[in-house]
Amino acid sequence: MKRLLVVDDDSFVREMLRDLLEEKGYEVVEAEDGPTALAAVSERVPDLVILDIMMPGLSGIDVLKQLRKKYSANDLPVILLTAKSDDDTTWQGWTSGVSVFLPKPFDNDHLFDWVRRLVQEGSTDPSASASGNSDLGGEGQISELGALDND
Amino acid sequence: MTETQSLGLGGKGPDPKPRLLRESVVIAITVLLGGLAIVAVAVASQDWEIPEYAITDENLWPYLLLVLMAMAAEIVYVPIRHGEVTEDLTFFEVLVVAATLLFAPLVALVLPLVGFIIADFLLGRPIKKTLFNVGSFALATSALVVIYGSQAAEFERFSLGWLLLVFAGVTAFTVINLFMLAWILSVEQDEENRSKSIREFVRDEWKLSFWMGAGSAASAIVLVILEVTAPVLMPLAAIPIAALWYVYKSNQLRLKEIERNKSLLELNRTLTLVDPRTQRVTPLNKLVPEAAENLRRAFLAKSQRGEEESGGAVVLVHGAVYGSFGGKDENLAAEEEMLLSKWRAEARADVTELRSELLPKRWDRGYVVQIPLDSDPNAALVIGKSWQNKGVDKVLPWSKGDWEIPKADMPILASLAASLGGAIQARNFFDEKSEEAGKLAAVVDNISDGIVLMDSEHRIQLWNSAMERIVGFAEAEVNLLDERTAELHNQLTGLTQDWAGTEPDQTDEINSYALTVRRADGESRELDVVVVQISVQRNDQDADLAYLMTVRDITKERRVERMKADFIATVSHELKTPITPIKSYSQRLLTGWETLPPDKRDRMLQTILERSDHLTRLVNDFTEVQEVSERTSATLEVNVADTSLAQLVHDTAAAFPGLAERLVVKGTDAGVRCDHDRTVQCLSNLIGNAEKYSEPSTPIKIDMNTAGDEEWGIIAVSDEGRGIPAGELDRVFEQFYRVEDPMTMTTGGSGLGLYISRVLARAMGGDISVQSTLGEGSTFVLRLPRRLEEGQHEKAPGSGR
Repeated sequence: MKRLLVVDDDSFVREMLRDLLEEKGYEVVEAEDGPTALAAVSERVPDLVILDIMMPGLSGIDVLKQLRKKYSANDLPVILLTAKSDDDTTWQGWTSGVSVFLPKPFDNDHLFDWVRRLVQEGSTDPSASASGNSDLGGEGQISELGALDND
Repeated sequence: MTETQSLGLGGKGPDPKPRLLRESVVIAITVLLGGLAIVAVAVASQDWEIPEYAITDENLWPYLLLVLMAMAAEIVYVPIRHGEVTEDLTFFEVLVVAATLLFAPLVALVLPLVGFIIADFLLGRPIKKTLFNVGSFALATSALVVIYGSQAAEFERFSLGWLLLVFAGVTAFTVINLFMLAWILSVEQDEENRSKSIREFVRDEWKLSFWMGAGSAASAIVLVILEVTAPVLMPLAAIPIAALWYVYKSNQLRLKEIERNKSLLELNRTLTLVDPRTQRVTPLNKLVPEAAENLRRAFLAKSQRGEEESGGAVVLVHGAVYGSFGGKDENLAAEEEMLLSKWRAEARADVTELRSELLPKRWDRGYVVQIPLDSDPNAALVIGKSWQNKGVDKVLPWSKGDWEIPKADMPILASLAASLGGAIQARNFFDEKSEEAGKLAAVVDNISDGIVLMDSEHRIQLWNSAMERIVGFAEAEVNLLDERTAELHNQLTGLTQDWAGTEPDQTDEINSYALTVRRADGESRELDVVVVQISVQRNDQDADLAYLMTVRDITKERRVERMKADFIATVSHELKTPITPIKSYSQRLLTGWETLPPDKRDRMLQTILERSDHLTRLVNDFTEVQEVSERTSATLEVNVADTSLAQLVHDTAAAFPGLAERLVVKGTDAGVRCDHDRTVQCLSNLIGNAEKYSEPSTPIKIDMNTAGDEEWGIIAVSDEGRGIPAGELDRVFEQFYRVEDPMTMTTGGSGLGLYISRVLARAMGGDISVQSTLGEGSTFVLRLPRRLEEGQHEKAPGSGR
């Protein structure tokens, strides 16, 4: 069973993600802030991290930077959840090695597509992350991947 | 041959009363002493042996001749100026000495004085002058007569002893005369800075007096010799007398020259644009009277009556001098009338047309414009005008009595007229420019934008006070280029680089730059600088390239802009976060309602409901911020009622069930008057913040007290959290301000809580303040007005109702 780490300071969002992803057969681990998330990862590396950006203390970007010191994007894919999609945040995300951005609120299918893709293929298919990196427009990129998934 | 010295009384002093009193005392003493001397001589001379050569005729004519000669000697005089007073040199001394040698003592003493009195009467001299002179001469002549008359019989005529006796007598006469003169002049001469003491007079005058005494003695001896040996040759005595007269005259001219030079030096100072002594510009309304006064001193005329006329100068000035004049020929008549009426109206001038015979050559018309000088009602500045002879100005001396213009004075007067005319024009021009510059300076200094003028060498040429206020440095400091200002100067210099190589006036480009500079006090300022290249005219030919910078301090605007941007980001984040579960759960419920167990469905719907409520609260919060931002504390509506600190704390704590274990409430209760709900809102904010910024294990203390103060009830909320940097303490109450980075912002933070709380507290007549130590925690203090006792005013301050 693939193990996912969900990091968000909003308990409602964490619970919602757990509800949705557990139904899809993933094991979900929660963390309410950056330090807890880093501790969880060092304890046991998950298959994917779903990371909120705006959190007190360590921001999602900071956590991502910490993770990338030890794990490459292939080793540990990271989805950044963001309620704030300004250029600066996006730029920081891409340069820090994010796998994909998912803007809040998101479509459930898009979430599932990305999770499935990154967990099953992300570590072995560099083209996936490459295509993600090349296209900053979240919606279009996700629908494209959704189409791929339908194959 | 004799010497007579009479005094002029034309001088003016700032306060003539004490002077007149002292003068009268001196005259009285002199007359008294003179009278006593005559009586003494009359008594003593009866015992003296009269020399056989003395004229003791029974005939009347020698005595009559003596009186006539005395009159003549007094009438032929040479005036000598001593500043404001004049001393008259006459031949009276020669006559007195001759009379002493030729007549009996009492005759030699009294008859010349009789002639003297008659002469003064004929000249119309003031009585007090005559009194003083008669007293003074009686005293001096008595000394001469006593020395000579008592001893003359002992010596053979023309022997050495006799000669020594004559000179001893003359010396006594001269000494007494000199002293008396010095005494009266020192009393007269008390005008400001021109006062001389008796000693100074004696020091200045003794040489002249003694030379004239010696001359008088010699002339008198020659006269006696002629009388004895060849009376027919007596008229030849006129030769030494004429020589003596010439000495007098030369001396008078020399003294006049000295006086004139002093006045001209003074005039020169007046004409200079900037007074070298005071370093101030002499204003036009002072220039003309001062110049006239100095001209009056330099060319002071004296009437035949022996009185100083209150003279002035005739200043024939080109009409254009007064600026409003100087147009075309056809308009001359109108302009002439205008100028004259202007003088009449503004300067109380008395205008009369000059008689044609008084006009200088080539002048067809002239006016005498008498402008009274306030310092002396008798003095006047006289201005005439030539309408055709443009460009040539004339200054002529003037006295009330006549219009004689000394030819010898014409060249110097003409050049002085030109100087005065030039000075008046220069002053007029200067006044115009000063006014212009003054207006510009006032504008530059009072405008709210900073203005900088930088020359092509990057030196600051102008730095107005707004600029000084914005950056905290004065112009001198910036031009110093020390380590404090070098960077600022470099930044400004950098703005001019875009023009490098362009010619002046080839571009009308206006460039705007954003600049962040460090103030003198270290504070950072954001400036909007507009730079234009201009050329500054230096003189007719040359122009300098310069940069004009208009500087606006936009620090505040920028801060508000950033706050607004933060606010938008915050609103966006705050709204999207609760929407996320709503959307995802709704989607999930729609796509497979029946596949979900009922309890899970309920939980999802419950979350949707709860998040929706949260969204509503957020929207209310933002709306409220909008409301408080637009209104001030004074106009915000609050419902003030009586309540107590404990009640408020209890009701607030009830809203934080999760914090029950962390809240430590203590202190004493007190009645306060405030809006209950608004106050709970404030306290909730403070407690919420305390929770947000501290570890869950630490206590949150709520301390109620009155701080020994009858006026205030206080609730202090303290946490042991991260604290607030000292530099940001003031800013925590600002709109949109958050201690943390927006990226790491906590869920509830809108950056508006403290702002709203303070506005509400102030609207209720209270306030919120903060103390904090970084790393140890913060204490927010809410201060509320105490409950009013009976008889006190009912309305809480700032209730706004």
